[in-house]
Amino acid sequence: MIKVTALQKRFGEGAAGFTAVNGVSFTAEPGSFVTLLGPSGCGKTTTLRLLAGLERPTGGAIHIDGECMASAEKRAFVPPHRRPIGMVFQSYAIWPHMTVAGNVAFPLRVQRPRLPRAEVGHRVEEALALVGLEQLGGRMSTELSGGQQQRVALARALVRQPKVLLLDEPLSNLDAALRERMRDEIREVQQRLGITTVFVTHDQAEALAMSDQVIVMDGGNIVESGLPQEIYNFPRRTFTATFLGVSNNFTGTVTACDGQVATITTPHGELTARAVDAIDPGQEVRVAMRPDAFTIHRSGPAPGAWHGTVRFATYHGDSWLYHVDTGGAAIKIRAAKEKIGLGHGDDIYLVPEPGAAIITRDTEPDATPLAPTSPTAPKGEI
Amino acid sequence: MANAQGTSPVPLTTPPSALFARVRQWFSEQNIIFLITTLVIAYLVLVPVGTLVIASFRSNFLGFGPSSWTLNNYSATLGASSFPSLIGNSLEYAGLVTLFATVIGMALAWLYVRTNTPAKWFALLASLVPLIIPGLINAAAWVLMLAPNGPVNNAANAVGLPRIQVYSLTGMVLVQTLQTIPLAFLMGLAMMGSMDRSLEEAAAVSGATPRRTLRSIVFPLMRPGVLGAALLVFVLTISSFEVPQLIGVPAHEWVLTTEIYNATSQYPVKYGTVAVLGMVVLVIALLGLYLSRRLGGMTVRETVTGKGFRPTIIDLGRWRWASFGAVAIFGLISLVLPVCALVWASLLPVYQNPSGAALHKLTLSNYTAIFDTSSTMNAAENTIVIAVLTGLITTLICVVAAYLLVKTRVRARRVLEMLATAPIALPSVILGVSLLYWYLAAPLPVHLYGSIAILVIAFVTGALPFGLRFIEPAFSQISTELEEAAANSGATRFQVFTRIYLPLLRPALTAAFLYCFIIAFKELTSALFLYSPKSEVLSVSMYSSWIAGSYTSVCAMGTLMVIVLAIAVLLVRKLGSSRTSRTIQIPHVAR
Repeated sequence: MIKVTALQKRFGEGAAGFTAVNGVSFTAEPGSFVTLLGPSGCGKTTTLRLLAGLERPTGGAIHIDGECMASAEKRAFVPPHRRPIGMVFQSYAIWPHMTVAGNVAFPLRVQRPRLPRAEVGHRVEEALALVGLEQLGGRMSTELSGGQQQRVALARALVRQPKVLLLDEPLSNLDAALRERMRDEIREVQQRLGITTVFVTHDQAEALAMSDQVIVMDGGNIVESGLPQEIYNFPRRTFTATFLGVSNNFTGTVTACDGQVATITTPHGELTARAVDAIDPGQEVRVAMRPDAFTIHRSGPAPGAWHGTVRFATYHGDSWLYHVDTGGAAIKIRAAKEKIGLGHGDDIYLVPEPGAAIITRDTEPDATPLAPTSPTAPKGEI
Repeated sequence: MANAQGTSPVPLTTPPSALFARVRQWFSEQNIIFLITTLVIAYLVLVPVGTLVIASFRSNFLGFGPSSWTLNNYSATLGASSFPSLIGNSLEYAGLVTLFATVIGMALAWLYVRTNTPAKWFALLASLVPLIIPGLINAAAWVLMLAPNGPVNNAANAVGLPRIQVYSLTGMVLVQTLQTIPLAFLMGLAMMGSMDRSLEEAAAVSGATPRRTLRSIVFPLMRPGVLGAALLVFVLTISSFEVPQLIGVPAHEWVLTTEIYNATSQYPVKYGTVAVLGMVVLVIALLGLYLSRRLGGMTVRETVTGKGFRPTIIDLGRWRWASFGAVAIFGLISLVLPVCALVWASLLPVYQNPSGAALHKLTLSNYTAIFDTSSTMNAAENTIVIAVLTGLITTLICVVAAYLLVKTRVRARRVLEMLATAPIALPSVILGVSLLYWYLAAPLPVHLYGSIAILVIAFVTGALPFGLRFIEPAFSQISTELEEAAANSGATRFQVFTRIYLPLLRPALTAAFLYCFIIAFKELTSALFLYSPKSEVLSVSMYSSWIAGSYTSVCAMGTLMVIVLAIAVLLVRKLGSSRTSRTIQIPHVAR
């Protein structure tokens, strides 16, 4: 289990310095796969490097299985080589002057007391088998392809059976097809070993696919965290909604709220949202709306429908995406069936799905992050 | 000189017009430019080498009477009883300098790149500024400081330390090491700055202690690079001339370069012996560079991944003050002391150690004498003309060569690259000797011997690899798409070159010009062989004054030279870098 408390990292001093991580707290349950998700510069990699001990925190504390790894308050700091971790780097960091087996054996060879030679060989074989490279042990590491390097890095991180596995954007250097395969492989290995894992990525699809818990970060802060399906279906922050591809964001005024459903008037038209908290009528709110939460009508006007003009359409294999001008800003509509052959200039009527809108809040500066939902919490409890 | 375009198979029944088109294609603009560039560089490089090789195998070369092919030069020179001690001395001198300079330079580079040593910028300054101080002047300053009754020995005497005899092999090694440390430091900086730090971090998170990481990861990864740098230092030291001439010769410590100069300045000149000694230096230099390249290439290919992270700076804790001390001593020895000694001596009519009494004798007479001596002013004029011409011509040749190397698919471009980088293995001594021989012996229509042109030819040849080293990487950083985009917009090749490449390359071109200008301004060794009273340059004037014993006027000339070079550097950099911020970023974006 990893426990991170009010972690802070400042680089430089005074006005010239900058805070990369600004009071981050979270818990990774034993055996869970936690993803730090955010745009570049959001502090996710620095957080991971703090966990690894490659950076020294300027505030807060890190505990792994109850043991203090770093604490600014107690001036305690366990250097990276004494932490029970394995790490995969974005550039893989495979040592070019060693063979594949040499790379994987290194963490065992530097262990004290020394491991018997046979034990080292056995465990290297095991680790290579785990990532499907048992044939390549004798190969020089410079003769490997990108995917193979990735696997060697994973085997090297796992070979000494660490308590925690840290992954720093390990998939970003692979091509699309390989990325998907490695994504599944990493998840499979992680589940098989039941190892607590922290994964850093800027790719929302990776985060959703692999994680037990997603932590969305921005500007050195945690924006929100929760189960992948919660984060995806019911983002509570505008930032999360945008970052996860809920591409329609409106500002509207609440006209009615009965505790369950809130009716909101936007410049485009009226829609209804599930109300999480009680909202007073007249209040201004931010609303996110998925592109697929509309039904399209060629002729109207249907009751409550928004009138719009198609500006252009893009085809995505399983769906069409229409960019529709409704007088306000453009909104994106996804139509799963291609039977509706719409094109530039077509007049359409949109009916928003009742209750499909999500009320989000903007991240206020210095806001305390929303309490992370425990990954074991019942789904949908928001 | 092969065809540039992949020629599509021509049917057997080629009409004459198609054949004509093929010939015309062969003589494309690009191939003609390639041909001309290659011929120019080949003339510059192959003439000295060829002359040296031929001279070493000819009896009675440049003498009166019949001349024939022979091995006698080799048997006589290499079999001479003095040869073993000569080669032994050279190797000992170069070996010791290489060892000390590399170890100290690399250690300083590590402190600079990886630790929080206070005021470490001082080390960079103390490495860069000596680039504009001529080797002769630096050696002169150290001779004055280390003289038997000089300030250093007096101080050593006072505290009971052993005296340093500057006129000895030890003195040579000491002074040359001090001159070479900056080079090793700068090479170490480039190497350590480009090493992928995650390789070390991966060792740390694998459980390796910092010491184990150093031993198992850092040292093995750096070994090829350090050895490569050491070999380069060795090659440069074994072909160095100023320190052995100023310090070694008075102590009768001869090395290859000084022996070559000595043999050419005695009458009758033993041209054969000189050529054989030149061949020995050339072979050593070629061997060293070949090994250095293989080793250096290995490091670059394997450890530079192009993905840099924020440098991990090691907190030295209390040790950083020890490290600060090392940097401060280096800066003091490399920069402050020589410059102070130089300026002090330049203000005295006759040299004496710094003291209160000497303060009253300070005068500017050495400086006024420079401006009053017409031969010195003539030398100054020659120097400036030669240095500017060298800078311009070298930059021009290098920019065309770099374009052909990086941006075209001319099949023979490897030949061009080999030729243009070969002069690194061509020590100034050899350039001087062989060009002297060539322009004395060759039946050329224009008589160049004794003119300024011959000096420019020598300096351009020597500067080619350095110019290329500045321009070629800059060229390869510029995406070919920029050229293609310009071509699509309707620009001709020439327009692409002048409108796209030249503006983007401006910082690199400025740097190349500046570097070659400085080399030419300072160069003594080859000039000593090639100058005539009419084409004398400042470095030669300083050398003559030093031999004549006017130490303080040498220092005055040296001080002025450093000042002029410093002003030139600042001016040219200002001119060349006004748009740097924009031009530097473009190559990075367009990877």
